Amino acid sequence: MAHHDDPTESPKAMPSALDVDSLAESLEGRRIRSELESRLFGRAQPSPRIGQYSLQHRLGQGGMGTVYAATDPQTGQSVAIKVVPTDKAQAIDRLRREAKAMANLEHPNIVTVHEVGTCDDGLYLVMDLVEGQTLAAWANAGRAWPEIVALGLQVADALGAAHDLGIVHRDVKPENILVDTQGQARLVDFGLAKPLPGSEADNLSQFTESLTDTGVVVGTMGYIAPEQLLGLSVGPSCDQFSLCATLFEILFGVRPFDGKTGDAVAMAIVTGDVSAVPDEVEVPASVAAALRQGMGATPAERFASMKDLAEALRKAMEAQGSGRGSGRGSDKGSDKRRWWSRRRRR
Amino acid sequence: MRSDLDLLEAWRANDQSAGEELFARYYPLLLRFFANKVPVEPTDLIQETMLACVDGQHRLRETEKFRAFLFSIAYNKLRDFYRRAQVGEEPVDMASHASADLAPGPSTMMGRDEQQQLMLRALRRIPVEYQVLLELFYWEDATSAEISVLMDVPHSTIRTRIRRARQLLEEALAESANDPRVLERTRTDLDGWAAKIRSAHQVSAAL
Repeated sequence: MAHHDDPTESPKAMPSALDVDSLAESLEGRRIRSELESRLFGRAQPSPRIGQYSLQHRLGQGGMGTVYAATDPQTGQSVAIKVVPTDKAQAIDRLRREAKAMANLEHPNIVTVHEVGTCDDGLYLVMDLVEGQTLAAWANAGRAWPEIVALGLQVADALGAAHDLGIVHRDVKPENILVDTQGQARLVDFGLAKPLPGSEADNLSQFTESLTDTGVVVGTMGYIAPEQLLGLSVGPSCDQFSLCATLFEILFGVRPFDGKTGDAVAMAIVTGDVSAVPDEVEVPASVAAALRQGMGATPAERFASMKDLAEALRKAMEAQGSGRGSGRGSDKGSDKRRWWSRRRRR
Repeated sequence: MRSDLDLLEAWRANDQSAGEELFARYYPLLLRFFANKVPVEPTDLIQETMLACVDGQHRLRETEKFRAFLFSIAYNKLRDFYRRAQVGEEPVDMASHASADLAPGPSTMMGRDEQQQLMLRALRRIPVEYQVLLELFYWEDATSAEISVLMDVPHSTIRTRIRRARQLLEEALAESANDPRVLERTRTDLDGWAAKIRSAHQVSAAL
């Protein structure tokens, strides 16, 4: 930069390492470029490929990589491909772990992984393409509470199946739960998954990374269980905590652990300071009570398993349905009353 | 190497290969110009900018460099985009609104690491005018003369504005460092939090 005669404008003060130069060369940059060349100059450009798959469009992007919709030109099958650049060592580890964890998992509410491979741009994971939206977006359309709880039960069942295999998800949150066009929940992102020491998964898949150690903190602020945040040993009940925190937010429109600063949020989690349920939300108290128990500050205060949590939620739903039904002399299916969840606060 | 203006003239006279060459030269710049300012894929915006460049409605002043000319069109396309995003609102004031407010949503560009992600987010939270100023000045090595042309402000004002922009950026960075909503979207160093909380928790547990 030739024009820095003014010392207060030293380029040093601006981080120089911003990763902007390589943007056009990235997979994303190349894909947009080929699209533009075809639009501007009318030449049909082949879309970039990963393995045998031809990239269609981007589905999403996060700190850990990009997810594309792609097709297999041989079979015409549509898939989702997550690509993690090679230079993101931590993300690569996560993707490998995700592939290992999911290879053993077959469940209708868990996204199936088909293939893992390497390409010039990094490591990729080929998964089912889920047509739908995230739980957060789905809930924003205004959902009756029984609908939300029913969806939560599907996720609880999926997590229970993972736990049976000795796999803990560790990053359950609204963004990691998709709702497909049939209204089925699909759990994604097992990138932080960890096998329980000595479990079948531990033996089978040789997760050798340091993540089996305590003292390493991973997860997402706001949904992370206290023992996870504190870097203590983490068991299946951290998924129970995170699922309950997720359902709490979706049902009541407030975050269960809130505060003006990150410190305050972390402190609320660790001390078990759960937000009050807003008065105007008509969700049975028994549902709120089950979620509170699932968010117990220590694992001992929570339900013994995902099954027990599911059982408590189911009972709460049934009690509500039959109670109203008998009161009006009708069966629960004819109860047309809607309970709207408030819009999530952002 | 043919000059930018040569290529532009040839493209205007229907020479497609000249257009392709010009596009190849400036695609990386346009991509990074738009990528950190809109929450959508910038494909349409880049296309509109290139087409506006060739359709000849915008006159290139004799002394003007092609790059400044291109950025001034891109800047206008960005303004149009924000206007469309805010249906029924007043003309967009880029001097007082941040791109994160005008077009909320995650940016399409991700930094290599968390530090960069925080920086990119902070840039999105200062007024667009300042964001553009800083990015052009530091990333594109644009001269203050070029920037003054494309933003249509006097040359002398630019330096003051860069200083002000830097100040705002530093404030935005400081704020985001302790904002739970930012933390949540960035995979921050939770270890740091854990250490903090652990020491605090020992105190509260003793109470």
